Amino acid sequence: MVMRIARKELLEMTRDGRFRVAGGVVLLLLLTALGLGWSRHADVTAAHETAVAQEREIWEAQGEKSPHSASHYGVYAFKPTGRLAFFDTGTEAYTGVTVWLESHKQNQFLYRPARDGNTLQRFGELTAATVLQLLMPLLIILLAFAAFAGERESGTLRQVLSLGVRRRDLAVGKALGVASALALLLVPAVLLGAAALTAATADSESGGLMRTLLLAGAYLLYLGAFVGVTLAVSARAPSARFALVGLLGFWVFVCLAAPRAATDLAKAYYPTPSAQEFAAALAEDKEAGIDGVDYEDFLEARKQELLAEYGVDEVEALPINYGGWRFEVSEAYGNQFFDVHYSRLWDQFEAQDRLRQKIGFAAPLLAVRSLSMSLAGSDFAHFRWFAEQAEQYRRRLVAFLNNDMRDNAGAAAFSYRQDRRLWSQAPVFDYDAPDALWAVSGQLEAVAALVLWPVLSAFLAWGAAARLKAC
Amino acid sequence: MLLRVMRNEWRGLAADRTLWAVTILLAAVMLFAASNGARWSALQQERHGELVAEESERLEETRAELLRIAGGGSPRSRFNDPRNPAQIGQSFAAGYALLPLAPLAPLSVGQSDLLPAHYKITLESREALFSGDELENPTNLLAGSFDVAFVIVFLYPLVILALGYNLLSGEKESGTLVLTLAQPISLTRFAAAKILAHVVVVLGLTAALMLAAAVAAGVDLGAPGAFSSLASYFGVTAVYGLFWFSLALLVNAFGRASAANAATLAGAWLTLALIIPSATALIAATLYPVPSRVEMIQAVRVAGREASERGSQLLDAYFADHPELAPEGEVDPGDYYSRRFIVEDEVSKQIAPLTERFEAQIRGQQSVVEKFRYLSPAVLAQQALNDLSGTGYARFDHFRSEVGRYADEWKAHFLPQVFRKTVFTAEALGELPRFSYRAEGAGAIAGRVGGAALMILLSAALLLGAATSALRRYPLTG
Repeated sequence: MVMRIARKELLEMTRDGRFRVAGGVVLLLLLTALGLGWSRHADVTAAHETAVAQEREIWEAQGEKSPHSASHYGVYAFKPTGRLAFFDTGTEAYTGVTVWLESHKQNQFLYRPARDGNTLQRFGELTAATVLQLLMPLLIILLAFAAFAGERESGTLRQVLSLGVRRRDLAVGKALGVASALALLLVPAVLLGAAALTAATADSESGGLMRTLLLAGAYLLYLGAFVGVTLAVSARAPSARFALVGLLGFWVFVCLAAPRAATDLAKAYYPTPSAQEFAAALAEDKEAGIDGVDYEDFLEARKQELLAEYGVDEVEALPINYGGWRFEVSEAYGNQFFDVHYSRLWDQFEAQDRLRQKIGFAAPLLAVRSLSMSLAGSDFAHFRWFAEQAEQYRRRLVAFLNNDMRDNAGAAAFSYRQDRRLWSQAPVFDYDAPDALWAVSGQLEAVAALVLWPVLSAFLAWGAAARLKAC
Repeated sequence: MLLRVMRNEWRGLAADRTLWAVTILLAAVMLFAASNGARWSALQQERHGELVAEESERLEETRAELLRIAGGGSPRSRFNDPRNPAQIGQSFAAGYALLPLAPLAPLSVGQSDLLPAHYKITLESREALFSGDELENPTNLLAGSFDVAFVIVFLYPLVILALGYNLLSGEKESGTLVLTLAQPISLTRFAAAKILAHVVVVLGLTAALMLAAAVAAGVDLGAPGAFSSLASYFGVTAVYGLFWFSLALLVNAFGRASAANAATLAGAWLTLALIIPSATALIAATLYPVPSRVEMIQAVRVAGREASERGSQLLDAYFADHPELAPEGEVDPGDYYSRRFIVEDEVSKQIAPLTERFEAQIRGQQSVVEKFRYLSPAVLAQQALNDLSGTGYARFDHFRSEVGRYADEWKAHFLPQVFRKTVFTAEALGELPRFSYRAEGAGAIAGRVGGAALMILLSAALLLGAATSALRRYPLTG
């Protein structure tokens, strides 16, 4: 019986001109977004690879200079775009693409692509993810708002129930009908997405498949929630028009109002400091030192240790180059403050994002968006992961240069020169992308909200169907 | 008769819970949006204050240091010597160029969260000066802010549609339409009276809420131009509302059921407010892809290396071209600052074609947007509201060109002193060029806003015309 109802629902929907038009538009948008997203992604990835290779060449060809000058010349690290970012670009347009790694300083990332874009970007980017997040739920509402309310109005519900069809069979059948209509749209998109993904992950490390499967699961739960809510409302609404208007209101709240309201709430509870405040606080702390130990004290203590280690009384008697050693001490001193201040800033951003996940319990869009960006590798957490690795690399590179000066410069100070031989031995930045498990581990609230929503809405639909009134 | 129908419609609206629900909801979101806008603009104001304070404190310290050195003291170090004009221009006296907040800034966040409203002007190249960003969580930038403009552009049309989707279909379904038309009134007049009643209610409500929101957001209505801007802000809102009223009327004029009307209107709203804008953005980005900034950095690095290798040669060539800037006597090829600025100048020249390519692509994207925006009244309204709040793209663009002009002036002030190795004094500190923002002409803004309003009005008129002709074929039965 259930299957028969599902078949009838599907047949009715596919014959309906409105579904054909709306479904056609959604499918077209989905495929366009996937296609264009993929081609842009390929361009960005290619530019990134060229840049990484070129940057190394520029570094090695910088010519003869002291290692410390080389550390000021520095290198640029370029943030790779997430492997699945063609599906969900997430925050990529709003994070800087590069950071300059030099001695003494942990710099901010530069060049948010959005600043080079057009003004309409702020209306929301058209990606496969936004089609699934915003348009699919609307399509579900359009398909199913009349499922019970419409039949009640036309009187067919009374007939069907009089035949002895169980109310719950009717509900399950209708849900299956909507699901198969959606599958008609999603299957071609999924196939295309899977093909693109295979191409994307062919030459890179694994983990892509896991991420894709989890993404598919997340969207199934999300869309399932909308099917449940729509059927529940349709079963209880006094009329089809009431059901539609109510459901559209729900969509507006979840998909339109909640994400923006969440931004303002996040900023109100966890304020973002200005660049000026951040820089001033960092400089002030560095000046004051930790527990009253400022740079001079820090250096003096290390110097005494050094002198004791070599059993000499003055730096001139050291067998190493004191200048090179001192540069590294000043790095160690400064890094303590970068660690504290950047962690504080980024923790603040993560607290904002976590609040957003929590609001996902009220508006599932926020949960699926958060999880989707994370699995696509385009959320803030992935940015931070990269930024922290880049910073660790900066420290390794600067230490390599300072240590060379310490060990090999002897009594020469700035007249000590090095050349390509040393530059080419400098450590290479080898970025390790985090795996899917890591991505999900920061998304527990989002996952909980995404599981809770379909379960709760199915429960509601189940209950509403059981008490279905024929007229 | 017209008035009687309107009065009846008002009674109907008042008796229906929908209007009250909508009023409460709209009031709540407007006040929430106003408080968000107030918080954001107070924060920006505070930041500007901090920058101004930091700058004047720094100038005072520099003055004291210069006087101390003039009195026989020695500078802290060679790299920390305010007598050196290069160091004055680079750090000691580097000034901020600030974009002042417009009176209606609390009403639209616009581009103000993404584009910087201040730059620190040093002797660096333009690329370097403009590359800095304000700190912000990218997820916040992605979602955008819940401001008054958001309520107007996205939610307010939904209010209009929620009240008007069954304007005629509701009467038809309850059987009152045929009864009413048995009276001496034509369907067109009846429909016109009903929609007019809605217009009066919704616009009256919106005007009151907007005024309340402006006051709640801390807009100083006494500030010059504030009141007229707010009046224009409401004017754009009213015209934008007329578009959606006309659309509701048109959809009703086809005589379909209420549920079908609701679905059609929801689809139209979705297309006009979300799909067309983001599809346009995508088309623009596809037609005029902006190269990655990664390329730019590489070009600067390569040009920089080549230029530094030719440093002394460039120095000679530069002074041959600019004899008025040349130091007296021999040119010192080892002079760090002279070399550095001349190398930077050379780098800027080398990468000019690339910079131009970036700007041409961005202009190309923007030209697509300019053409396609007429397809969506939501885009037109959003741009007009941002323009009126001083947070639109055009104002930030203008600010950038003003800053560029000032940066040139700043450089022109210092470079001759750097080359001639002038000793900088406390008196010279008082003669530095300072930035003051020259606003865009009021005419330019009025032109853009007026043009947008006119276009929206025109589309509303077209819809009304179509509705009138459709009403003539209205199926009263069936």
